[in-house]
Amino acid sequence: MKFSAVLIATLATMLLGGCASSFPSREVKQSASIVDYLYPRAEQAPKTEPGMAYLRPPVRVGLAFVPTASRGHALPETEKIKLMERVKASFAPYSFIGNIEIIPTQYLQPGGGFANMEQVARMFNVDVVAMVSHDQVQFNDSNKLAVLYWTIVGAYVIHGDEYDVQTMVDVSVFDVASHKLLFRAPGTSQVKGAASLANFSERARAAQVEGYNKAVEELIPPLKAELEKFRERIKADPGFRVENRAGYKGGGSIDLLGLLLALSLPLLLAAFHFAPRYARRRIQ
Amino acid sequence: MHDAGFNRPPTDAVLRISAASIAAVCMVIILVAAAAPESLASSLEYNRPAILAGELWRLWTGHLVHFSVQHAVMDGIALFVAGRVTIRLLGIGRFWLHFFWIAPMISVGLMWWSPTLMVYRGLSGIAVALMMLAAIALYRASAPSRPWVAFFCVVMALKTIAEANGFTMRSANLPADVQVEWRAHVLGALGAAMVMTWRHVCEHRLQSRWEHRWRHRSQQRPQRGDRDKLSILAR
Repeated sequence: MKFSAVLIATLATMLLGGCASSFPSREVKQSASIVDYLYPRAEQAPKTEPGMAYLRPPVRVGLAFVPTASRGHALPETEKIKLMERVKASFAPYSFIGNIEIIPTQYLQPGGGFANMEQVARMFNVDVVAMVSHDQVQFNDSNKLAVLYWTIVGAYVIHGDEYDVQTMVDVSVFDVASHKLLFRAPGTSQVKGAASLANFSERARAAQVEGYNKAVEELIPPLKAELEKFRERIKADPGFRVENRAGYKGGGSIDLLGLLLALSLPLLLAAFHFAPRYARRRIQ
Repeated sequence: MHDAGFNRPPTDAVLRISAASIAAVCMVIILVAAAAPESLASSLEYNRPAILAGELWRLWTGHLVHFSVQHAVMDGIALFVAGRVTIRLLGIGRFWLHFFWIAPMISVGLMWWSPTLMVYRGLSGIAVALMMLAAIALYRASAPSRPWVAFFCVVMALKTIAEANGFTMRSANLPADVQVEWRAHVLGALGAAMVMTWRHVCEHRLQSRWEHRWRHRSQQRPQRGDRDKLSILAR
């Protein structure tokens, strides 16, 4: 009797342990921080040195995801490139932005700092680098239906597991030469859903990608607003100086105001030259 | 009314011919922008290394090619309007003379002032020069127009300062990698100022030379009384 009780208890523990090990972990986190990348061993706050940022339009922009050391739950490179293509499209319509290069994450070194950023900027021939940092947390919970997993069929049919994926994506744009942060824009998203035990990991992975997509979608309007603000700011901020790039193209162009000025000349001529002569002739 | 700076007013026929000739030039410029292959525009544009290598025609032709049709249309309209006013004030001969010497002057000026400028296309430098020529001629010719012409010049100057500081209107519609070359406008205005100053100096010199000659002749010519005295002495 005693032996059989111990056997049952052991089997039950093993079974429960086995099931528990097949359940997903409660929290999955993946993050790539711009601060960790740029200041990897910083014990104190980085000192800001007052300096001039020289911008030579059309500014060449590099776009990269901040690299992470851990590769366990990292977003696949193909997805990163798709996301960066969307960010690139939001930079494209501005005349003061020239080429936009997408820099694959493999070219960046985790914790590489500004030295690594400068190397990559030289390699891709860009003046400004837009770094995409991200922070995603996935919470996994079981609901009441999970009890039906014991029926084995339930593990395939019943959506007893829930996920809640919260994502934050942030684009920080740096001038490579002066190490100055030009502007930044954030985007956040939350994706919730449920899945059966059998296809939970697949659904959760899709939710992670969807979380990034939604966050990037949220990011684009503030990014455009920040770009507009930055364009206005550089005109007033003494820390920025706009210069001509060596080998730039120039166009001799008359705009609408120039055209109006040109059109005012015949009016002036008619009013002050021909009208008095005509009047004099009529008097004679 | 002070009439300096004006030639004999052109006849209607001359005005019609001149308007047709400027319109034809503008149409050719727009057609080149619309239909000509990029290789043709590239071989005509202001290109610093090519000019330094001896392709001197680019000093003139760089002003006649454009980056887009809208760019050519805006510049063409400005040239047509400013050109007609200039012809009325200075005459058709002077218009074409100034057109042909201001073009290389702007290009050479750009080579000196903006050594980092590699490629330039556009007629606006010449259009601005013609606008300023017309404005200065009108200023010299008609005293009541002076406040208005001064206002015109101030607006032009403010517009150029704004362009130099990166404020450009979207109507310019240049491609993303092309900047408005405000230096060409400044050089055009300077060219116009030089022309009108030279004209003013020449007119004064000519006038003083004639006056001097006239005075000299009148002093040399013996008077009636003197002639009688001379004849008496001769006897």
